[in-house]
Amino acid sequence: MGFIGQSIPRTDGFGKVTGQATFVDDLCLPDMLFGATIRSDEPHARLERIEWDPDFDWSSIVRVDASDIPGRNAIFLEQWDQPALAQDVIRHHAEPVALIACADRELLETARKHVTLVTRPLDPLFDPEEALTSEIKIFGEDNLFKQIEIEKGDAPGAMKSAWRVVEGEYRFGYQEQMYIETQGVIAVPGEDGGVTVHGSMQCPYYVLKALTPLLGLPPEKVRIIQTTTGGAFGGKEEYPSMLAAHAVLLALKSGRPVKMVYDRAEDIAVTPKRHPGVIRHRTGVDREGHLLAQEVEILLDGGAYCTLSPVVLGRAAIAAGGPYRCDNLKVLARMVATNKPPSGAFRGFGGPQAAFGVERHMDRIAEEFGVSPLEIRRRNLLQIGDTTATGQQLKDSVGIGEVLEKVAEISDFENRHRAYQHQPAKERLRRGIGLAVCFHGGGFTGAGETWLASKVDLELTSRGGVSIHCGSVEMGQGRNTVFSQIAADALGIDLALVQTPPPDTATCPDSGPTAASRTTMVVGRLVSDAAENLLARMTELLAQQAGVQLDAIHYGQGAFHWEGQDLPFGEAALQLHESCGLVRARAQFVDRDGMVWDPQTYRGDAYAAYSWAAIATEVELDMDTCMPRITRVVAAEDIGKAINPLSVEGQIQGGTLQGLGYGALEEVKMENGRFVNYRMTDCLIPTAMDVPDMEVVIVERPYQHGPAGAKGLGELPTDLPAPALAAAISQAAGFRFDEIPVTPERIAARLTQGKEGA
Amino acid sequence: MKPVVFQRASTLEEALFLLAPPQPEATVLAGGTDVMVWIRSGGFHPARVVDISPLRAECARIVEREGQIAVGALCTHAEMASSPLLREKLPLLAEAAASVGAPPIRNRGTLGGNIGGSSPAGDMLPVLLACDATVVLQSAGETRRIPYSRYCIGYRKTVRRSEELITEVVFPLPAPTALARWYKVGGRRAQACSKVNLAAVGALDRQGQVAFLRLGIGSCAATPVLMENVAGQLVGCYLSKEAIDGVIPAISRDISPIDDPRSTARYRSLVAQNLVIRFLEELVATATAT
Repeated sequence: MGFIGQSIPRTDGFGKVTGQATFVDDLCLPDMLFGATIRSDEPHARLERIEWDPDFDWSSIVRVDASDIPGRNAIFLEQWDQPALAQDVIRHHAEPVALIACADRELLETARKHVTLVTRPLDPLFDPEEALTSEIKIFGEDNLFKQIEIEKGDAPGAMKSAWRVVEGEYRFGYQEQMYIETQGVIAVPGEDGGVTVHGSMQCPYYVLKALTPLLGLPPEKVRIIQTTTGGAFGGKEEYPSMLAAHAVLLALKSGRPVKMVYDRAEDIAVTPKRHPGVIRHRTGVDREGHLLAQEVEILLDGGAYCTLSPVVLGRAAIAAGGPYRCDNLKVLARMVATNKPPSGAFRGFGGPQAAFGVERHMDRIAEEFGVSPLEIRRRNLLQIGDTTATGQQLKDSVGIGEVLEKVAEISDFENRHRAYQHQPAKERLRRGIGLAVCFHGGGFTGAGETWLASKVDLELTSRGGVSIHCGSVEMGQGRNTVFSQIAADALGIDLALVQTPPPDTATCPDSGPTAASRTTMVVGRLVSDAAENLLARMTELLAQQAGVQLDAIHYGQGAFHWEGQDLPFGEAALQLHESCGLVRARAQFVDRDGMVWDPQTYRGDAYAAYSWAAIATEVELDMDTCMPRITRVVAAEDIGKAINPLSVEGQIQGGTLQGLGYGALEEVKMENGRFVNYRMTDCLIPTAMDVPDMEVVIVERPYQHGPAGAKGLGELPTDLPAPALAAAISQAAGFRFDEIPVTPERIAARLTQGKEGA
Repeated sequence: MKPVVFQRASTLEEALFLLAPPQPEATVLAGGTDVMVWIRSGGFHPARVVDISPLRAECARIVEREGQIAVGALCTHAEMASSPLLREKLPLLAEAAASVGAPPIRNRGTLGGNIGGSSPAGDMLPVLLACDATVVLQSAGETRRIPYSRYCIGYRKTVRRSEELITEVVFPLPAPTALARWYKVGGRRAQACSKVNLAAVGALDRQGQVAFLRLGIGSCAATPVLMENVAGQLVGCYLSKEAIDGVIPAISRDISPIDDPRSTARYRSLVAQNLVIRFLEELVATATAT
């Protein structure tokens, strides 16, 4: 009997549903100012100067521009290319150029109108297809943020012997994270010249690492504290570093706390979104429908600055061929620069784009062969012993076959797919069903986890329990609950004895970013390891105090036992906390899988463990309005172990809905480099009314080094609904749709193609 | 930023006084679901706001009198959606009101506000057209009654004078034989601005000819539109398949949709055609069934 595997209620749930949780905008500090950002109104221009209206009274306004930056004017992440405040050149619309702060928000808004950016427009580059050859240079000589080539076997050679070669092109647009809480931070200047930042974020240590070079401060003078975070979905991976930089610059200049919380319009208009782009497939198939050779070309639009784009590209490249066996594969993936707001991290992180491309392409192959989408997948799925695109041999924990068969059976896929092929053409309501499979590697790519060297501390509390300290955040995904369950089981104690304080870089070690589906799988394992180390440390201290040999004490059933004594964990914790002060134990990541990875060639063990998923999506398409109604979704996902099944189900449902939105609803429209539908009124995401009947099946093929066998979960459900939905709509409409979102407007355009006046 | 003069009227008489010359023009605030958003988003700076929300005692009633239904301008969408009288006698209005926004918007937004703003996408407005409703405008000196079909004269432009207040909307009771339908097409299944909305009321006579047909359509032109070309072509005719198919050019003449961030002209044209045809086919089917 333990807590792992139990659907215990979320430990952060009560505070959130009762409104007690404190978000950054709930915080108010004495003498606090409000900050605002002066942004460019052009996609590409030379910045001549900033004009502060001489007739305006600036006495109560704090003003900051690039010249106020004490260190290096860059938000460091993968590159040093993105300035905190534009200097000389503006590279995208709404790029931050200057900052103002004031105690009076009304006055702040008025002051904003008295700043003019004097610029000389430059030709903008918008089309990613032109980026490599364009005369307009945004990044380096060729606007190429990153190029990845993966070669396995001999794809061009094998293509020649193929019975048939199938080609296809797949396009996808932006997607907005639309976390409920917009981006926000408060920066507080310290008396020692340092600064503390409170904010909504995924990666406190990213913020720390961005601020220290910007401010020219040593790390110990910069402190980052995460506030309750109302959703993130990747959107709070990079951008909080930018926002924190702005607030800190204002705080240091004014000597007062500065709050910056975006309203929704600013948040949508300026923060990074899922990369749009195009994927082209060329696949050689034999007479039995087996994949002989895959050639894949990926082009993603990174926008004006690099952000995390190279890493996103890596994910997309590795997943480009799908979860299929193919000995000959060639991937050419490019991330290019354009004069648009930077794209960035979003749940799935290249996975949804890759899955959309390869899954729609598998449907096309199935059509050309005259077999069902289910059959073509069955014939090609990866199995234990096969190698992935990077040449990684799969040794265990491969649930792809099981998830596909579960979905096929529960959704009655074959029968329905056949029936819908023969439905009457003239019906107003037409039906369709689509299928998709995918895989998602947990944790950082290749040697990334070794390089991160994540650490977790467990500490005894004054209340006879433990608290977990690490940089991984709770952002709505369930980190607090899952960590508590893991720690409680590892220590054999009650859940109520485990505390999960929010990350604070002054007291918490770096456990790596809260991203990459790694928090449960990688950091959760460290929680369990730290618990073991804590027990060892406690044993050591108790042995000293009792004057007995170390091996005379053993721990079991939630108590230390020696020489007829039984000391429950809580009492031991109190005793040690009293007598020894701080008792803390640390666990640090070690590679238990013997990962071998070459970051240059993308060959080797890309991920320690893969999670696997399959989905079937059924729609009813109203031919009058071209509106699809998703009538049923069946999703089966192999995540190793469900630490908290209720949470897992919720995360799968939510991720699935986000993926469905990506497929047919969500569209961030851009004109001349600016997002035009930057309000929730027009930038739609699904509501509860759009949630279909959803059946979730959890499959558990354990990963031996995950906590209780758990693998990554967070991103997996978002990767695959879009292609399945596009397939279902295509079947219903009787036209193939290879561009998402498949909006009613796109459907209408296809249905009326060639017809005048419609 | 210049300060805003904010005045709250506690009676209708006071409101009309506050709106009357020589006072400068004011923005009328009822539920605030438009005005607050316009101000908050930075583009709208009214010099003076007159809040009429306390006038509910006088202007938020839904009553039947002399074969008509009068709906007070301060009735919220939630009240219209749940009014037993409307649900029985004018279900089209109740249904349309229920399809607006989300509960918080329906609890605040008013019928008068929907008319005052006269957005081309306003969901109440096609219903007013289809039901031949009359807007009652009151000022300190006079009361005018204007059919909504002559009320909105351009993009968000209406015949209301600055001293006038919308106090009530009067709906003639529809003929008991009439078929009434509300179609709303938004970006998602709820809480979405309309890409196309259509309120349709029609009936066939004993011979099966169209006795009357009123189609109010929104989001398909600069204003909500009463589809007079369609009605002109079909009233007095049998709704044969040919007659129904032949109405497409008339639909195109009635509307002039555009591309905007919410949808495309092409989509709106297609949906307008399909929905009008769907209604006509339903009209035939219903008449055949009875």
